[in-house]
Amino acid sequence: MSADPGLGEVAIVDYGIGNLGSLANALERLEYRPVLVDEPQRLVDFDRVILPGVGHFGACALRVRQTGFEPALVERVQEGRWLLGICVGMQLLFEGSDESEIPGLSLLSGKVERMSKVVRLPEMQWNRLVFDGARHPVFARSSGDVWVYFVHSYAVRESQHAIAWEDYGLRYVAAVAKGPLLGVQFHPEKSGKSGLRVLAGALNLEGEGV
Amino acid sequence: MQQVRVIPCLDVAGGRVVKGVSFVELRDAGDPVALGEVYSEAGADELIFLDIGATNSGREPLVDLAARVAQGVLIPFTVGGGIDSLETASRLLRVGADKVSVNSAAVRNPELIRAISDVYGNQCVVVAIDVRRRGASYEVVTHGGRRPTGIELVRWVDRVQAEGAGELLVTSMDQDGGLGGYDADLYTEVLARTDIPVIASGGVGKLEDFLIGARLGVQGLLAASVFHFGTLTIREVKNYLAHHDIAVRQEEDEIDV
Repeated sequence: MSADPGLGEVAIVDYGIGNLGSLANALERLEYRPVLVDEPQRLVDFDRVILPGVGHFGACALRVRQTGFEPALVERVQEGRWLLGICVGMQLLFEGSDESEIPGLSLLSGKVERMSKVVRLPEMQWNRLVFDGARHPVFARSSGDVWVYFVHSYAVRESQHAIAWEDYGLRYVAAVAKGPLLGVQFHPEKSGKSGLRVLAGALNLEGEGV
Repeated sequence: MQQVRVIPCLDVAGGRVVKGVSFVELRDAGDPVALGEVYSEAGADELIFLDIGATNSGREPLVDLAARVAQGVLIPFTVGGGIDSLETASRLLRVGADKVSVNSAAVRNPELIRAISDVYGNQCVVVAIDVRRRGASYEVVTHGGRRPTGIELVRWVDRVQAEGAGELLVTSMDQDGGLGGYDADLYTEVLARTDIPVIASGGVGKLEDFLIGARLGVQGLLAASVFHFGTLTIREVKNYLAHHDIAVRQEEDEIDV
């Protein structure tokens, strides 16, 4: 066990996918200290872990396994500890995707589907979040409309853990929460101040050991 | 629902933002790092950074400068100019670019689009297409408009989409910097030909031009001069579009996080 990293540190799972700089940048603006972690056994030291993901579901799912992160992530969720998946990182929490034969982590039930082509794909734009009823604490820092940036061609249609939706031709799940297991389909680190508020709300959520 | 993005563009040469007419007669428009931050704060939906000297002088894009701009912005950030290999694209994506824009190098070597798209996904690859009107059609030009290619626009659109382009940034070299409005025929033709997002670029001079562009159905409205030289603010443009029932992202009230 390494030394206590302190409350201000946030681990970003570095499994060789995508641009982690902007996420680190956003965390610094919120006065957290981002730490890129490429060794699965180190995750246990962090109270907050973010699973990023960009591009192809299959490539991400493959990398997360090849780098040995799967058991560490699954165990973490079974222990009720805090985890946030962003974009393909959220999709990986589900059982699988139309984009690939390679399964997801199955931490949430349901599948990621190809989005309807009634509108242009990929969806590469800001969209307004839709809430059913009271807002989840993740969004408590935002008042009024919350506009966030989405980049995707695949999405989850239904989840019993959905806490926000978006409308892009059809209605899709924009965010999920199952206790301290969180996922957002959009990019809070690329969504201006609205995104920072969502990220701050998520990081502030209580999990085991937080 | 679909909405339209308002996108300021930083044309960078010699470390400074510049803007000319049809890519020549460049005027100084400021420091890219400072301007990027200003636009991010001012409600821009995305920022594009184009190293306009890169292709002509054959050197690599300004990776360090792009990295510093990226650090100051909390919105999607695209970098282009002289990207001719997967390695260069990777360097830019690692230092904070969300997308890379390829242009001349893709005309020389269309497989470059596929190479980047296969690794990072098609949402990372913007193909910039500069065109000049040739009678009833359009010809693709490169090197800041100086080099004709003999390639017809619609053929090129088909090809780049097949190669894995995630978005098209289409600039009318006849209109660029001229403040005469977007070329409506051009975008009508491109939109009918492709089903990926399209950014219109070149010629915006007044509020009405943005509205005309939005009504054509493009997904992004790029402008440079009107923002750099203070003719219009992002907020003015968005308020105007919203007032005319165009879906645009509206900012939350300005409370601190």
